[in-house]
Amino acid sequence: MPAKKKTTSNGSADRILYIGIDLGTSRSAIVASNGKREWVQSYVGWPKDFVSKKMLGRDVLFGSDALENRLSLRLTRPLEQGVIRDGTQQDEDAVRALVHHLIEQVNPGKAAEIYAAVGVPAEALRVNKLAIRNAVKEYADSLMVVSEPFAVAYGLGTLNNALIIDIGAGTADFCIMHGTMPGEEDQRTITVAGDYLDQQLKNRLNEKHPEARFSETMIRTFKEEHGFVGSHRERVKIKVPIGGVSTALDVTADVRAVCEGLVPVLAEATMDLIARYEPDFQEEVKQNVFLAGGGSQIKGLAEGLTEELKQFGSFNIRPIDDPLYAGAEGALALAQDMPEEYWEDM
Amino acid sequence: MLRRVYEENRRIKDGGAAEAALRRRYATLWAGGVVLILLLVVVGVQLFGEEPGDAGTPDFGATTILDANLPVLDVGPDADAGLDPDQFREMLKGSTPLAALFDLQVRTIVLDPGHGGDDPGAIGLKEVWEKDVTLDVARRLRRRLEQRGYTVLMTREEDETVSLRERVEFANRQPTDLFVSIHANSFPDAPVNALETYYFGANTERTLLRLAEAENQGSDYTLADFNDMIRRLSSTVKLQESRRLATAVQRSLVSNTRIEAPNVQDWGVKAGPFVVLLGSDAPSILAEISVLSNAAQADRLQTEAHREQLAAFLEEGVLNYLVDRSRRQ
Ligand SMILES: Nc1ncnc2c1ncn2[C@@H]1O[C@H](COP(=O)(O)OP(=O)(O)OP(=O)(O)O)[C@@H](O)[C@H]1O
Ligand SMILES: [Mg+2]
Ligand SMILES: [Zn+2]
Repeated sequence: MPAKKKTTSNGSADRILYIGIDLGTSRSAIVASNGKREWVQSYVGWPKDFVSKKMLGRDVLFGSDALENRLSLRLTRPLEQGVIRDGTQQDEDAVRALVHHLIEQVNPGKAAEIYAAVGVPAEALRVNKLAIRNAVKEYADSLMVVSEPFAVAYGLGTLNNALIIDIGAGTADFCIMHGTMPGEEDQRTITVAGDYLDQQLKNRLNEKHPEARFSETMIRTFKEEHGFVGSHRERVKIKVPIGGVSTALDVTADVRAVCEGLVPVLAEATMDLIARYEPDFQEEVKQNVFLAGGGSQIKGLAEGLTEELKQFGSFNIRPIDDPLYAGAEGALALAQDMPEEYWEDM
Repeated sequence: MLRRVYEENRRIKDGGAAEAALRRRYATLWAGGVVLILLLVVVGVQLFGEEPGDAGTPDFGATTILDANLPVLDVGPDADAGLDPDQFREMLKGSTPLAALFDLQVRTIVLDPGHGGDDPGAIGLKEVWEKDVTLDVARRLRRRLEQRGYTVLMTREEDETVSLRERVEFANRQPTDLFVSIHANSFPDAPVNALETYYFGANTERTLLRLAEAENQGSDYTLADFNDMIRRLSSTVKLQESRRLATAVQRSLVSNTRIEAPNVQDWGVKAGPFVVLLGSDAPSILAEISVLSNAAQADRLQTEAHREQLAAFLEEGVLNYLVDRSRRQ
């Protein structure tokens, strides 16, 4: 169980800074034992050429800063689709820069020794653990890498007979907790997640309103502001430029249809994982399903999923509080609970 | 539990040196092609951008290659190539010889029609046999990809028995850049219609092993060989690219199949220990393109038009992957 935080009675606690990092496809967050926390969109951009560099006055840009200046940048989202893409140098460099940037945000200061626990998408952990370790280790004195849903579960303290569904941008990660560190067979990754919904919504709107122009950012913003499943009180109206004139479109049905497309897919994977679980404890797992990640904020999703799964019994499905920082907080809790001798060895 | 976390990380730390070296080698190779490809893309748009571009490629409604799942067009390094998205879209609609435009590294695609000869594969409803469907669709896919400028090789051309080992060795002998094995599922006990695509990866899930057993029948490898091959599967690049290819193909299959069969289930992309996917270092997938035990699907599979559609869906998936890959570099 995630125990209480280490106290200062532990002699080394003053000079050690514990940090928890959640490296995500779309957003990355950091939480530190000094109480600081920050998040950034996972974009990294380097000026394209000398002129851009001079104009921007920086060697590397992050998050929305990078997005806004994207025309002058070589821009990358290094964990696209939940893995370090290609294993190319550029993506590794980008992860490294992103981690460095995040750590700077919590002001580690000079004297501190940094013990970092990093949660990464389950798929990235499966595929290139080492690359991730390499990218982080320069900035931390000691380092542990764990899968993102595990970090979330650890933070929630739901370590036994529970199911975490982390609905991110590139992937939705499922992880069954059964009192030990989850293995391959306890986890499942599907690529139907936030980015997929954006794509579906974009296709739909483009088809229905060929005269309008929708950018990726617009689409994502509609979804985040208005995404819902089930019945809904208000109509969703959005403003888009059509032929230079800002025009209001009613997209209620489209937003709903696209978001609801997520439900059967989640239900299928949920049942698939639970069905493999020891029969005696399946009922308990059904009462402990947690939705995490940005996608868990889609209104009515937990209810919709509960309804969809009704045929398999009654479920208790809840979105977690604080989805933005849950992974980083969990990683921090893990870092703080980890015995000193383990840290010294890493 | 914390101890497990520690041990796991310890293992990664110690065990990774070899993998890292390998990955670096690939990275250099890949970077080398980038400049040339970008150049070709720009030139290509100029050359082919105006082409009327309809050489008999049927249009399957909503999901054109671009609508389906190309990466973000208006963000990021894509802008470098100076591509106008609409122009690009036009270009893809026809049968432009993409091989010349994109991805110099991919020239040779090996298609592997599942089963054949003494091994009928699954026997579906209405006398629809897996080995016939896979061969027919593979032939159609070959024609399509050849029109795009790729060299296409097949592990079998006729209704003949070819062992898995022979298929693997075939792919090994050729300069294979992509390997696509075509199969069809059958669930005699359930009226389900579902699509799934596998890429090679060690995976211990039991049902998967069972399926792998069925699809691996006819391999004369021993278990020891098999374990050894899995251990040698250290190429991260192959794994990642295979998963990408699988994802692109699966998406295309699902979104296109849905147009006429709205209830088809998307079982997604999975890692599976299929011997036949070991063939080479090339990205390798095994697609289960239909369900022979589903009455509606069996009906449709009997028509040439539908088999041509399936070939088009696969083509779209492969092209999406290739385009995405060239743009990523
Ligand atoms: N209020 C909201 N409603 C619906 N979706 C949202 C909301 N807020 C964020 N999202 C979506 O959640 C996704 C990002 O979630 P999250 O930050 O958990 O992803 P990530 O951890 O970076 O991705 P991954 O887990 O795939 O690596 C994006 O697709 C975003 O559009
Ligand atoms: Mg996440
Ligand atoms: Zn088969």
